[in-house]
Amino acid sequence: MTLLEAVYINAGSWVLFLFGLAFPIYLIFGYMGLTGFKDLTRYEEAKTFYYRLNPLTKIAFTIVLTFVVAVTAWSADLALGLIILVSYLSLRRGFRKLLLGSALAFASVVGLAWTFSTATPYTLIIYAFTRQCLTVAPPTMSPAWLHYFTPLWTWASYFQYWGFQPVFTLQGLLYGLQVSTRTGAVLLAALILVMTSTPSAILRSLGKLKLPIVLIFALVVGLRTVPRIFDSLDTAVKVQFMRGYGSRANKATRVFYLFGGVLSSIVPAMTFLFRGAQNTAISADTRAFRAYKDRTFLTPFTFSREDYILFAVVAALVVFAVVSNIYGFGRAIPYSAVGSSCGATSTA
Amino acid sequence: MGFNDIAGSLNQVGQIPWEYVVGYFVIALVVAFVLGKKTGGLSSFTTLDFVYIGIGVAFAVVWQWFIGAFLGGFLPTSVSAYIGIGFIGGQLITMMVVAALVRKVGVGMTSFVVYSFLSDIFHYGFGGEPMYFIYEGLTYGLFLDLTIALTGGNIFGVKSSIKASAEATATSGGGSSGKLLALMIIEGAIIGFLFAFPDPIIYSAFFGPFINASKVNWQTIYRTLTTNVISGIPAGALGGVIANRVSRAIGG
Amino acid sequence: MVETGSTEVSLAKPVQVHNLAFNYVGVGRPVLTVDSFHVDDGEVILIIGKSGGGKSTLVNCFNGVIPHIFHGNNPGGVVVYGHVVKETPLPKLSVMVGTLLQDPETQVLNYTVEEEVAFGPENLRLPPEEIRRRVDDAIATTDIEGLRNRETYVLSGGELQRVALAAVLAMKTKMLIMDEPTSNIDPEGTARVFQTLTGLKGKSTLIIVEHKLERALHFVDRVVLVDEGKIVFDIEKSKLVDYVEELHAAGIDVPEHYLYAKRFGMNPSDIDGIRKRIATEGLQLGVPKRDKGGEVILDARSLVEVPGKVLVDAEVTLRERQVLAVMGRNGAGKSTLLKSIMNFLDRQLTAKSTLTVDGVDLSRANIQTRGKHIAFVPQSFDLMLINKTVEDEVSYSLRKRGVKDHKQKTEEFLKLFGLQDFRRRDPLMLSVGQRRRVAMASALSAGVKIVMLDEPTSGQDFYHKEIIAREIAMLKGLGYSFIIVTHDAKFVYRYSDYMLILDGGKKVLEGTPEEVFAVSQRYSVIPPTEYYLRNPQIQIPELGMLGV
Repeated sequence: MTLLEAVYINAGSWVLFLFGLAFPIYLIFGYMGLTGFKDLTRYEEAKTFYYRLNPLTKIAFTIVLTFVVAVTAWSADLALGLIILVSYLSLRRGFRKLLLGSALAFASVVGLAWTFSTATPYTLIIYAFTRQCLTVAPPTMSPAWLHYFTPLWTWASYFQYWGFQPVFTLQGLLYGLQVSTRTGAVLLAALILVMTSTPSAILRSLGKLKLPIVLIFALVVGLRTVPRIFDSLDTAVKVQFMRGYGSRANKATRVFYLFGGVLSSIVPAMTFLFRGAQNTAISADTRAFRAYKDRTFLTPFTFSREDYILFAVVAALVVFAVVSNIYGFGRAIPYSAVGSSCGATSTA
Repeated sequence: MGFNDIAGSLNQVGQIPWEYVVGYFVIALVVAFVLGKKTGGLSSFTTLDFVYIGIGVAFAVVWQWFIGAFLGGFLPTSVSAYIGIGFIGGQLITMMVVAALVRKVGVGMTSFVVYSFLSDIFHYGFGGEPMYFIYEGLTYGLFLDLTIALTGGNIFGVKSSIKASAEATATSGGGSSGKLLALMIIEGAIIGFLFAFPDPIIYSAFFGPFINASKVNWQTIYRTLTTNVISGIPAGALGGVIANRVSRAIGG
Repeated sequence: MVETGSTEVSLAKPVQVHNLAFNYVGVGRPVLTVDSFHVDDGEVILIIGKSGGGKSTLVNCFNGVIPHIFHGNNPGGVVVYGHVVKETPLPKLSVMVGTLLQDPETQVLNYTVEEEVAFGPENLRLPPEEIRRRVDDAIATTDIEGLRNRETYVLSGGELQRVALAAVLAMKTKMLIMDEPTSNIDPEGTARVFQTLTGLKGKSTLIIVEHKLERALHFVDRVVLVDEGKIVFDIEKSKLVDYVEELHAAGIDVPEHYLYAKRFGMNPSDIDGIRKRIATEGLQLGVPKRDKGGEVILDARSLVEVPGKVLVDAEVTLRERQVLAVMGRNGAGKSTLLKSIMNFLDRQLTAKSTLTVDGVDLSRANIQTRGKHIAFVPQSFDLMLINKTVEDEVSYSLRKRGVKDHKQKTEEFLKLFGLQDFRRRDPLMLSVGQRRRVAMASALSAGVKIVMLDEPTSGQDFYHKEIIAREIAMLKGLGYSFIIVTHDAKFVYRYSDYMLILDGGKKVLEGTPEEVFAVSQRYSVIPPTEYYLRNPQIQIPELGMLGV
């Protein structure tokens, strides 16, 4: 190998590697920012469909969706994800949330896909695409190997020590994208719950499931603290910048300084918020918290017409999953819809 | 057809036999029960303890979800947000801080159960429950509680530090003595070491296939275990020091 | 197990204390010793004293926080409505005594206003109709109907404190303890809290803890001074004028007109009469010196918008060695103005700002570049402390900016702020006052000459405010200029050179405090009484509205 080739392979490998890391970081930090992230994780009041639902209905929807996504073809999952994303338009400040949700889902998909596409063993990909069970993959770049794979890039050799497969393949990329697509729909559905139900409403619904009140209380405090953490980190990072941190950063490295700033801010932010804990405890205790083992509730626990509509959607999803599997459109990747897994033995 | 294509078969090739896993959880439950009986369990917890848990768990979620989710990419073996920086920061260090603030047996398990719920509300959407909170509570959480029980509540030397700084208020002190520092580092490192195991061994080699139909790949599991041990020990040591520091700053 | 509030009838006194000597676990000497003290039904009592003097400890013995949350030895001797506090569980006490704390941000724990107000009654397992009734009543009493369905997260400090008050009122307790209830909120919020309390007078027993005498005085029956863990005096309000020396000795900022009331033998609430008497006696009261400053050092124009709303549209000019105070209602855009100058704004806000500092155009500069010229100390200054020693904290910006003689400069700043003895200490372990000094020193050390402070006196007592004022005066002498956002009219009157008032994001008034205070009432900025004493031509508002 000439020096030029070595430089080419090394530089190319690193560029590709860093792309997988940097792109999601850019999307999250660069596009969304702390404020955008905050907007996607907190409740804002509105009266449209999602807001009128009982939180338990939304939880049921998310759980069923997780299940449906796990057993159906990736293309269906992608479609479900897109449908959910479009429904973001009905949220308060819907268009902004649609953009933010897209960015977050896309960042998550890219990040996960990159890991899967570079690290998944060849045998597994061969199995996923052809259902052939090989215990050992053919030697890389041999004709037999090329029968299964379209090579895109050969990593610098030392990348293998980090768990990379020797060659980055089109099939690996497809596999990674298809696997990671599943996360998008669930992520977007779970966010709907957080954005359209007040945390206390979610917790109240959990209370109906007889969760101990102290655990619900800890959750209430946790949920109220999350936006305060973002605020504190935001201030702490900006103050570091003001004091000269990242002075030598350029456009490309700025985002990494931002990340470093967040890391150094965690202990001060923690200390700052923990200092207020005593007040919170006094505030609860002087309002009869833990007087009894359970509580009553101001708002009665009801299901409305909207809940029944979503229940119908949930039922339709289940039917869809069953029918898809019966007709062979079940989970194609990474597992076959029918038959047992490669080499599995049944003890049932 | 079975759930997630595993057709109800628990013991797939390569998967940890379910008898072992159930055995572990039964023993863990017994240990948790005995510890709870001995120390009074959650009834000995004050509201302040639950506030600490709530705030700490919020940090764990923010760290795991926001900082760790993509930074996991820096560690080559990471295949999900459960491993890597997210794991180290979200689950290890912040929970160590909460344990240092509360210092009562049960804080570990409670924190991880609350954490599991909060993560569900934020991200995981209640898929796979109640498996996760049982798993997280009785592994990571139990490890923290055992440490508290074994140290008599003086986890990471917090009690000793608070006593020492109270005695040395007027002097230039306030820092930690060498012996105390060693204690924080060693205890933290041990917890970091212990925290390295559940994810590859119990999650990847059992719950993963069981809940998510992921493939058991022992090559990956060994590698994850190795990286977790390598990153967990120093991170745990650092966590011990941070936990002691935050706890002293709050005033114990 | 727990009786649910107002239904319980008791003839016992709200509070009876005999031979109370309380010390925290591990602390040998008592932090509070009270031989005898009582509170009668329907009384309104003001407990004053400087921070750390024991006034909060005293009321914490009434509501059961001591010994049920803060553990210690021997908190016996306190009986509330016939129940020995030490032996009565906290939930039971909580239906007799309500407690409102200083910091609304940490005491409000639910997500929406209605849920926050319902929290207590829900804990009492009341039926939903009763909870609804109590929530509606409390919301009506505190006049927060408009906030009912809002998220607590987005409320201002003043609004949050009213929500916290409503949440306490929903418990329908016969006694209410308010521990510095208005320290962290703006004058308008303060006035509205007191307006609510005025409505409760006669119906409930009220105990107000304050380090500021003036704020609640007009509306209380008795005044109790607590200092160094002891009750120094416990008197009818009308006799207060005779105790001015004791107040001074205990570090309380006695309103100036009290001194003259005592001298002339007049009623202290007759401020107009007192200032007329001052004039007839020919007394010349000293007027705070206003520094005209040097050259213009900062010129900023900020236009900050969210879709459909202008948050700030204002111009600020600061001169060398000048203290410029920015006042206005909560939500008037004061903090947003500072943030836009510093380029700290959230990215969803649209900002079109220009900034010139010392002749250099920084309109397009990033935070780092602006930070070379301007330091900003946020209200939550604790978030600045990221290093493990005070020395590293102070030298941080010098190191980050690659300043060559950073060791020497660090030394200078440690000395300037009296931090040499703490140099090796962990900043997080220091007291609040020390932490604030470390934050100031580390903000200034990189060589800035302009300092912006957001609410530096919020929640501080007289003693600590004086320290801040001395610090600012000292730094001014060294050539620093300040922009200070504050609600504290007295602080502004005493120590600022120039001031401006924002309203709805626009600069509506500017000038010297004398000029601005003459008409500032229309923007809810009420001058302090010492301003009225010196300006007899200005009409005095009703007592409850006086700025403090």
